[in-house]
Amino acid sequence: MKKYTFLVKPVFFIFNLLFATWLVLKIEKLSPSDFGRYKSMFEHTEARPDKVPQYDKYYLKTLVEDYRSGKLDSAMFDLQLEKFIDASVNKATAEKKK
Amino acid sequence: MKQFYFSKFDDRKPYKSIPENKYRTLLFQFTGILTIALGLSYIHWRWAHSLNPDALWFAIPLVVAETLSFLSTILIVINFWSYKDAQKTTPVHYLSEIEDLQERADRPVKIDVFIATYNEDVELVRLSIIDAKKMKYPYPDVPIKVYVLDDGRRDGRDPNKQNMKEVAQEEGVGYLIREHNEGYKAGNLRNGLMHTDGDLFVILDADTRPLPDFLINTSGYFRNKKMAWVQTPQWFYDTTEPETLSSVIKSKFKLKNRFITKPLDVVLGKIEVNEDVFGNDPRLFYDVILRKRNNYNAAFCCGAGSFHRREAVMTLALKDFAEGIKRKHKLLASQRQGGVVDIKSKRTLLLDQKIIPFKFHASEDIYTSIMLHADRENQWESLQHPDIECKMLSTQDLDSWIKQHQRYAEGSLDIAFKDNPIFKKGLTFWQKVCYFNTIWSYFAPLWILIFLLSPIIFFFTLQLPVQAYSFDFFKYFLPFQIMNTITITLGCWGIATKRGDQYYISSFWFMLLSLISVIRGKKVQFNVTPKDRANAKNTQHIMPHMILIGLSLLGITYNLILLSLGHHPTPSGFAANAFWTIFNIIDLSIMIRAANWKSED
Repeated sequence: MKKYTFLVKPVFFIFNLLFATWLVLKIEKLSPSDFGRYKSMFEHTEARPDKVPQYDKYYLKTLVEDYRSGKLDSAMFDLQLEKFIDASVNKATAEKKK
Repeated sequence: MKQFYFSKFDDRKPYKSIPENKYRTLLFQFTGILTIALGLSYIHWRWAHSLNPDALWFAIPLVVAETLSFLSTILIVINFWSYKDAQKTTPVHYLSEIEDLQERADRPVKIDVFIATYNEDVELVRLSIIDAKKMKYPYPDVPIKVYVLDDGRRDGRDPNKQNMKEVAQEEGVGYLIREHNEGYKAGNLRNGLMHTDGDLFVILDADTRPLPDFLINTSGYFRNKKMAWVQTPQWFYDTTEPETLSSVIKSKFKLKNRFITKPLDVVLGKIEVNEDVFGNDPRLFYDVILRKRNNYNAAFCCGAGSFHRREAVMTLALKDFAEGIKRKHKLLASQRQGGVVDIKSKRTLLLDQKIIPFKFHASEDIYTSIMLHADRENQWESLQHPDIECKMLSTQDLDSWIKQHQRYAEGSLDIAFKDNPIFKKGLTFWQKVCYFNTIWSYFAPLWILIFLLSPIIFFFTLQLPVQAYSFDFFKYFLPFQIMNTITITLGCWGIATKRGDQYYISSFWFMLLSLISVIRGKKVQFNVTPKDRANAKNTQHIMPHMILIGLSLLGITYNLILLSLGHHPTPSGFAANAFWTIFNIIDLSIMIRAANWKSED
């Protein structure tokens, strides 16, 4: 085993470089509506659409993306879209009253 | 014995060097790479997506400043990469241990100690002589000779000057002078070397007091026959002591009423201020920056507290001597008919050419280091010794501080413009990177000035240098900044960097003046740093700082008014710039404190 210890440092630095690249790419993909939207910031597998504000364009964009990629089924997508439209209308009415 | 302001600090104990820790080093390297990756991503985003097209006149200088500053970050990560301390060994005894004798007879090594002085108080120099004589060595047959190299020619000929020669005689040490000051300190050292024959020699300034084990702890390094010099940390044992904020307020406003002083003590009694008010503590430089350059064989000599092999500097001097004659001979031959130079001219040529061990330059120490490192034939090595082996005095007023630091800056920049180490043949790639790092740090005022002006420009123009302080801005900026802070903390582990950071920013004006002076081709002056206290106010030096702070405060007030009236176009921009400017004010204020600082005694 000892004769392979010379590999520890190169392996460490290769891992270091790969991790740094992964981190940079992940940060690039972050958008504001991602906060609370998924169970993990970096793993967008399980969508949690109820946890985020319903009325910004980032939300709409990611909703469509999630539907396209299959993370949301059509029923859930329909429901969320309806909520989004309602929230947007409510917001617009409130702003008009102001 | 004469009492000085620093006499009360005589009992101060030196700090211990940071112990090497391989896990911390690995962690630093890990975060260092992350910082560079995140920094590259941030800088790419800044150039590609963030510039405000409506204010390019403001956006481009700022992004250029950020890019140049990021280059410094990369250089710092490289510099701090790893420790490589040399193995400590027992002191050397015989010449054969440090040199190849080549049929010469062996003998105990000879060690000389040079104390270079010019105009310092002779009683101050006496302290250095006494401590130099106290240096221990385990072999009684190794001759250790102390010499005072007095460039002030204070040998009693001028009744208006103190008599340095008399002090040297009283202390029983050698006294060497010359009749001119050519080459300043380098010339003084040359004179010392020409009149002595030590195989190894120590350089001390007039105020440098070696500790008893200096030679014992450092001479062993010369067993490595390539070791040209060993630099020990310069420890300033007279830096200002911390005071509690409550005592500062009480003395400033002459508060005596205990109904006021008591609550003050309770609330502010534990907050300490004014520790090392001049930012003189060089621990970060010696214990981290220079020590980690051992990794690249690029630790340079800093003059006082260094230990040298005579052979190294003399070999370099002889090489320069021969090259100088060759160059002049060629020039002379080209001017003569038929290219023949007569004997008389050749003799004059030989007599005119000087042997110069230390380069005649305001930064003779770093310049000579570059030349020695570049000597591929001999492949000289250098070492930054981690432990403190001598103590010395720091500048005690802002005026002296500025002069000293401007000399360092101008000296290094002068080398950069006239004999840039990047293009120096013989230096390794990493040595070039390290010397470039030193020189690059003196260009910092260019981007610091932009960083200081940017929030002020925003306050009065209400134009943002970025499209918006949006989510995108913070998602690139914050990870980079946070990781950068973690990396620097790991790199400087165990050392307080707050004061150094403040001086890095607040010295921008003086460093800018130095840069301009060198660009304009002004000759670099060799100013001897005063070793006493001058309690004069230095308001003229801090006018730029006061103007910048004043404009920042005015800008914040103006923006607050706009905000309260509901007319501010970018409240998020105001918040970001206000936050930024508060940091600037804190950094700049240290110079104002230093200018107004007065010692109690």
